[in-house]
Order: sequence, then structure tokens, then C-alpha cells
Amino acid sequence: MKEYHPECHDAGKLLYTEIGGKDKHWRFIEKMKEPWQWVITQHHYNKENDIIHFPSDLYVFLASVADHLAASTVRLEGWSGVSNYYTNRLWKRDSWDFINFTKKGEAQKRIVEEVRRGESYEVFRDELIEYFDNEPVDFLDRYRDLLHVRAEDASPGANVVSLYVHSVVTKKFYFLLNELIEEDSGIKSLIEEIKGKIEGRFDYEDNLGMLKKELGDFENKLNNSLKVNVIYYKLDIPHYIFRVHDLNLFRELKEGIEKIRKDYEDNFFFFFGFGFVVVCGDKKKDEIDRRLKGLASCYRIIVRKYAKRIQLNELKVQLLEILKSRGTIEIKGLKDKIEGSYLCEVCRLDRGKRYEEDGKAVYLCSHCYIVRRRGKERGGFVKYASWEEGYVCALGFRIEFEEIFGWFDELYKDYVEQMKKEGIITKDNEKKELKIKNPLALAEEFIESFNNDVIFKVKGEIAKEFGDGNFEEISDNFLLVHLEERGDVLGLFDLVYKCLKEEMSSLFYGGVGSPVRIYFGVGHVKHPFFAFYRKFVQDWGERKDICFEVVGEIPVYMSFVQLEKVIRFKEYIMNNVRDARSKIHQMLEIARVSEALGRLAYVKSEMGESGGNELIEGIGYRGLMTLFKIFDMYISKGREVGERSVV
Amino acid sequence: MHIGDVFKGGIYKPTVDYLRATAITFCLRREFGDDEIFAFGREIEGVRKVMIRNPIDRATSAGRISGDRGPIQIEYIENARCEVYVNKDVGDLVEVLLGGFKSLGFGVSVLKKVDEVEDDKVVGGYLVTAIPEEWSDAFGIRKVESPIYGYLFMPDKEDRLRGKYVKSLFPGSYIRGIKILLK
Repeated sequence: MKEYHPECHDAGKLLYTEIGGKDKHWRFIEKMKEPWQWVITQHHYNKENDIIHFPSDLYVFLASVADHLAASTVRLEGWSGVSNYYTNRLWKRDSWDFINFTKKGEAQKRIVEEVRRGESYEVFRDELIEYFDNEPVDFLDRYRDLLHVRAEDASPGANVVSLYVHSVVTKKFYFLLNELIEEDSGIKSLIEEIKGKIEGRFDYEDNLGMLKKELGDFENKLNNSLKVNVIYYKLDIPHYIFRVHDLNLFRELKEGIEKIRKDYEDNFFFFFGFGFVVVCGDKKKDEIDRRLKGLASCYRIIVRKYAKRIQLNELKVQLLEILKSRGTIEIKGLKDKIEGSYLCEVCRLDRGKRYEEDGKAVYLCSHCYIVRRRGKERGGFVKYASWEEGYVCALGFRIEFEEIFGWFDELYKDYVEQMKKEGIITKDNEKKELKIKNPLALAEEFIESFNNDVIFKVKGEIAKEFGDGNFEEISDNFLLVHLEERGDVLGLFDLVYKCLKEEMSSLFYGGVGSPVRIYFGVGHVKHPFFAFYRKFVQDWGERKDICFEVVGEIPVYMSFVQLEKVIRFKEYIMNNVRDARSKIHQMLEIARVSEALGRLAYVKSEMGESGGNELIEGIGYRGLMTLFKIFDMYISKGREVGERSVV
Repeated sequence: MHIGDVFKGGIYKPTVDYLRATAITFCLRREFGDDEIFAFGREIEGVRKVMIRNPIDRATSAGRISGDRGPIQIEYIENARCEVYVNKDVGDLVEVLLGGFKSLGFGVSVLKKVDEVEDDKVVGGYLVTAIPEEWSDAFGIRKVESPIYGYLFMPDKEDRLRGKYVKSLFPGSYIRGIKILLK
């Protein structure tokens, strides 16, 4: 069944429909010899009126079922308007395109010619058709760029998921269906019935409507009968990591999870940081559970698990509930009492045995000792270890899975509003609630976009601006940046803001709570790592998208809208350095003596009218003072450089 | 106030932001000589700050300057306020010394009696403090549904500098118990 390549099912969408309907899936009709060619031409049988488009066997039928499960189904009944073949990602509000890819027949041609710069559409078309003569083992990689631009569904208002993610999710569902059918002995008679119906399909040549209905009923029966496990795993690292070699824990844990993910690739969804969702049958659930328990006991990490066994057709509805459920935590092998004076310095979950390290006594349990020793042997994190002076900024990115879906609904409402304004949706069904019906593919796409478009870009920009030697990657979503002065963190603010504004502009439209969390923690370069990481993984409270923490100061929590205001305020200060600096300096000195007098000085400084009052909303006076201290340090450094350059 | 998240040898001494049961219970037991006292505190409110302290080398009377023996950073909570629940009447006003670095002036606290509460209604929720598992019954914890474990130090009766670490429920554990224990 692997040779069916369900990820290619919509390959026809990469071609454009010529007037007269000679292109698209029809192009593949002459090639119906191989299983993947059947899938391409027969997965959409319910829209066709020729028996040749009906599934040749069970696996083609399953590819069609998987396609329906993976569809984002945002298209709404009773809508009409203009189609759009370009993927408008909901989180990229400033890049929404309502104009350039709407012309039926021409839009896809334009997409191909824009993505494959310099290559004519006709050349691409012939290449694509020829490509399917052989087994399409690298379809997703080979046509990745194109699949990313083309929307899965071009109908009015539905172009919010790319064909790429839709293809990936269809593939996952296809293998999931096969897995569940294999496991479920109670479903055998239904499968035999479906097979019989498919074999006898030519009997329905004159009544295709009946065949469509019966196959549709089988699809419903299948989805109602099959049960699937949905498990949301969240791995916490509660360790007190303060030595560089202990960071090996992050590396080994990541490798351990990657190994599991590789073995069960088609069952993994929403993979980000140390959290992911697994959708699978019972056998794989036990295997994955066992392997994660192995990791947990080996590294003494906390595995939070939110699991439910549900009917397959309930997946779309129940996913959010599962993500929001209370979950369970399993920790095995802890003793009731630990005699002796020392707990392990790193995990604090076992007795610390005495070891000599560089002439000093350290107390570690055997697990943490081994991780540290392996860390020393393997090396790594050398840049972080080499920073002797200055400060460090811990920069962390988190996604709150349970908040993604609500955010999508809000963004989608906004999207529809914009389309109405542009006259793209000409008729809608007011009674229908505007909701993304199946956010799974969309969430998958968002996570991919956040990883590739934001985090990857931020890493590149940091290496460029701060120097590669001043940047250490602890895990995919947690970085350390070496700063000369604490004020340099404002440069990092600028950089992150710029990347977010370019790639995730929807975050900066107020009133909608986002699932993205960003942590900036600034401290001395020798400040223990765990203190940053602990704050990063904590729950900061509602509508607190960004946590900015300077060791010894009050943490400042802000929304993305407020981050934008901080950037604007910084620009104001830099344009009025002399005046602003003396005011900030004076205010901070007064605030050291008395907060009440400090507040008065703030009012008198008129900084409020210049943007301070907008900042104070939400972060409070004390938070504002923390920011002012950082501004003060930032300006001081700039001034010194200026003086030197004058000399 | 510094309620240490102790680990040995570090230059950074973090504080936790809840008053764990062992800290306040043993403090009151010492004060009143009553081993039947059980108490716990909820979240500690106040401003988190860091103090840098340079220990003196007694041999040279000079400040230590390098490595783990150099200056330490003590995280503390300024103007700390915390709701404390005690199972016995300990008077309207008690002065106690709580937490770490008492020699530096930390931990001078006043317990003011505000009210008496009767709470026997069992509900589910997330634990707000840290409690040794063996004290669960005394604190009205009926069921632990999703534990987060750690270890708390329990001093010996005879020599309170010695003792053992006992398995304990930490904040964030999902339990069924009386409401005041929950977030």
C-alpha cells in the first residue's frame, strides 16, 4: 500500500484547467497503469461522471477517505464569489493577496511561472506528467515551493491551507487508516463489503449516482467504526542546569524524540519544541508510550500526557478538547525517602553521590552524572562555554497548542471581513458561524511556518548581526545570545519584531489573543541557565505574549501590540537622545529613592505624551521603569560610541 | 524573604514563590514546641529582587573573588506577603524567622491572625504549595490524580541540622482536596 503515494493525489492541481477541460487530472488518464496514477485520477470520484474515475481498489478508496479527513473544509455552503488559487496564510495578514491569482485557468499558470522563475508553464507541465511515469518517491520535496504557494482549495474564502500541508496530512491519514483497519478485527466484514462494491463498480456504469452514494455511505461507516488514540505529549525539563555539559540533556532528549518521530513519522502532528500530538492505533500507542517512558526514566523528565480514544470522525471536534484537558503525569521510580545530606544537584529527584570534578566535590545521581559525562565527551555548546564576560539573552519561542484554534477562528473572521470589503465574497450564509471546521491541517501549517519563516530567520539574523560566535542554539526553540551590555537586548527586540512583522503580521492586530509566546531573559553570562529556562516554560497568564525579564528587575509582560509600541518609543528616544536621556536618567534616580516621587517625575518629564502612557497600559509603572533602565543602558552605549567616533 | 530552592555550590540562590509546608510547619513547631502543628502558605506576593553578596574569606579577611566561592547572587522577595493556614490557634500575632540567609537579615516575618476558616468541601484543582506526601491526610488531600513530585527536607527531631528528604507533592499537582490548597 506504500506504493500508492497518496501525497500525490492532488498533483493535478499543479496544472491549470484549459478551456474545454483538457488539463488537470485528465492529463493522467492515459497513464492509469500504476497505483499512484490511479490515486491521482480516481481519488475525487464523487465529483466525476465517468466510471473510469471510480476507485480501482481499496487503497485508492482509502486515499480518497484520507483526502476528505485532511481537507480543511473551510468552504461554506451558500457562498459565492471569486476563487483564489494563492494560499493566503491567516497569520500573514499583510501579505494577503486578493487580486493576482483569481483568474480561473490562468492563475495556476501564473503561480508556476512565478515560482519556477524563467521556466515556461508548458515545460513544467510536461515534466510533471512525465515524472509520474516512475514511482514519485520525492514528490513533496521536488515540488515543495509550488505546493506551498498553491491553495488546497481555491473556492471563495477557502484558500487558507497550502496544497503542501494538505498533501502531507492526507498521507498521514492514509497510513493511519491502513493501520487502524489492520488492527480492528471487527471491521473486516465492512472492508470485504467495500472491496466487493469496488470490484463490481462496472455494474453501476449507468447509475453512477447510486455508486457515489454507496461509497459515501461506506466512508461514513468506516469513519464511525474506527477508533483512534489522540495523545498530546508535553515533555518538561525540571532540571537545575547550571553547567554547560548538562545541556547535553537537551541534545540527547531531542535526539531521543527524533528517533521516535522518525519511526512513527506519519503519526506525529504539531511537533514543536518538546510538545507534539500523536494520532495512532492501540499498538503504536503502547509502543510510543513505552519508548517515552524509557526516555522519562532515563533523563528524569516529566511527561505530561493528554489522551483520549475517539471515533475517527470525531477527531476534528475533539482535538481541541483533548489539548485543553487536564492530562496526567507519570513519574516512575522515585523513592519515598532519601537518606543523606545531598540531593542530586541537577535533577533533585535522587540521592546525590559525591564525585570529584576539577578538584571540587559535586553531588549527582547516576543519571545526571552520565548525561554530564557524555556531554563532556561529545563536546558542544563551546560558544556558550567560552563567554567569560558580559551578558546573555535567553530567547525562547513557545506555541500554546490549546490556543491555536480559537486564534484561527478570530483571524478567519477578519479574513472573511476583508474579502467582503474587497468584493471577493459576494454572497455568504450569515446564519453559519464563521469557524475553521478542521483546523488540523491549518495548525500543522502554522507550526511549520513559525519554525521555518520566523525561528529559522531569527537565528540567521542573530548570527549575522551579533556574530556567529555570540549565538548558541540550545534546542530548536531556545537560544542564547551573547551581549556586551544589557541594553543590547533592544537590538534583539528590533530583530525579532522585524521577522515577526514580515512573517506573522497578524500578531500585531490588536484584540486577538495569539498562541505565540516569546521569552527574553537577560542576565550576567554566568547566570544559571535553569533560571531562564524555568521562567520560559512557566505559564505567564492570559494575554501575556512576551515576557521580558532582566535579572534583578521586575519582569515585564506585554502583548505583541505593546512590543510594537516599545519599538516606536525606542525610535522616539533615539531621535531625541539628549533630551530623552537626561529625563530617563533623572526619573530612574528619583524612583530609586521613592516610587511615589518617581511617578511624579514621570508625569513631569512628559515622556507619557511621547509614548510612555501607551506603554504603561498593561505593563504598569514598574514595568515601564525596567524598560527605561534598559533604554538608559542602550543610549549610554550609543553615546560612548558617538564620543569615540568624534575623538 | 528567601525560601531557597537550594542546591549546593551555586553562585545563584533562587527563591521559590510559595511557602512550602515544611518551612512554616517546622518553624511553628519549634516556636511552640508542638509537634501536632501543620501549616502551609500559598503564593508569596512581593517584588523579586537579587542581592549580590560577597562572602568573606576568614583566613585573609578579604572578599572572595573567583569561581563558586566568589560573590553569590541571592534572589529574594521584597515586602513578602503570604496567606498562611495553620491547623491550631497560634495566637493573634507571632513573630517568626522564615527561610534562608537569616544571618543577613532575611526572613523576619509576622504572622497576623486574620480569620478562622472551616473548609471540608473537597474539590479538584491544582495544588498551590509543596506538601510532603506523608502529610497528605493531615492536609485534607483525598486523592492525587496527577502528581508533580519533588523532595522536601524533613529535619530530625533530635538534631534539626540532620534529616532526610521526603517525596512531596509540588505546586501544579492535580489533586482532590480542600479548596484553600488549590490555585
